[in-house]
Amino acid sequence: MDGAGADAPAEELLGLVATGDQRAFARLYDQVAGRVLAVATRVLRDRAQAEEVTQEAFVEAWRTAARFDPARGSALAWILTITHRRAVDRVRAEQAGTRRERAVAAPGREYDEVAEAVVAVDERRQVRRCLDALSGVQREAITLAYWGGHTYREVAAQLNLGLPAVKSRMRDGLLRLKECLAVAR
Amino acid sequence: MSHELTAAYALDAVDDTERREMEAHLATCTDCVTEIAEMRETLGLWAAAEVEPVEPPAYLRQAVLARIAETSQSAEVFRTPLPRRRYAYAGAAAAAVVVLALVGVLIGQQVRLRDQRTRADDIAAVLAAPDAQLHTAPATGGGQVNVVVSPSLSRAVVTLRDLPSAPGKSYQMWLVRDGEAGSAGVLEGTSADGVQLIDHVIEATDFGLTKEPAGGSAAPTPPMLVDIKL
Ligand SMILES: [Zn+2]
Repeated sequence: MDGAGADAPAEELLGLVATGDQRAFARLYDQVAGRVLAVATRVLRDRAQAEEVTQEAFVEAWRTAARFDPARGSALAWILTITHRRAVDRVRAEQAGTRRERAVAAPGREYDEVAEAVVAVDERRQVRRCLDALSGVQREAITLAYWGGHTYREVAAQLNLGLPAVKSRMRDGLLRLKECLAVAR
Repeated sequence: MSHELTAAYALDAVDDTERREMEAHLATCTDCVTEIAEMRETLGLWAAAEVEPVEPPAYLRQAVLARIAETSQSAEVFRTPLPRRRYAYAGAAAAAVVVLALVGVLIGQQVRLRDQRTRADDIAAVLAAPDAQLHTAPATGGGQVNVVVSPSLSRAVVTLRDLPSAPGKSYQMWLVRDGEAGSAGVLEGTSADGVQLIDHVIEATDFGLTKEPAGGSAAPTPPMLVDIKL
């Protein structure tokens, strides 16, 4: 039939997408759309907007698939990077209009696939262990920025830190998270 | 100056001006390019594990596929396909492949709970509980049993997969307290794939599963197909 099997790694599918392969794109969508929508939903806390962002993110992934470099990382993280940026852009646009204060989003609560969630329990346990390796301030800074959609200036104000301090907390925290995730898996 | 902003940039926590400055900087600084790529990989894997996948509605898939069919790819796109390499990605990228493979395996046992919102919420609460613990064991005779216990909620979610069908019999779940097994529910049907929610697990030391005469028994009939220490 064609290039890649249904269980082909997302990286391989994305390589095919870069050549204009729409079937590979559909398979890639099926593999990662659940997580893309979940991340968008958690940042935006609005299902309809999250669906729009999911659509925009996949269209951007289609357009720019040639820029994906498998030597630099996974296809999942690449698509989530696109998704997160678009979600945050919306949060900012919305804030510019209303100046509404946003708390950090609560964990998403929409599960249709319990079995998947059971696996996620195990993943979360590992991730939690990694988050525990971060200091409280590092964890808060990363969480406020990533899930809350705040700029580092806003994070600094919320945590009563200077700008250099918040930048270094974010950086040190991300480096520690990276080391722990690499070891844990 | 921009060197210090790598983390904030990777987190999308910079303003538009800083974003443009960083992108200009990245044209000349390979250290920052590498660092940001690693941070984004870390954040992507972290975020993917932090959320529960949401099942996207069918209309969204249709809309996305229709749009890309009409969208041209950027100019650098048309090139030869990547060589077919499998699992050749180091470290975290390989981990993502493993996670997706696991998800793929489980797609066959998706459980639809749309019409059972309350029960689904209860199940979700167990799975999201900070103290949720996963226990997993193969069943004697075939199949796989996962038990997620939340002591604080005193509840457990049990998923059963690929248990052999047992004509004329029922599968029955048990909780053992003080060495005494009490019924935790009889499964409907003669084969059992699916999800069960069980209450009052707080003092239980073991979760067990047996095959019983249709409709279940007051006490377990040996052998225990699964005995999971809680
Ligand atoms: Zn630099």
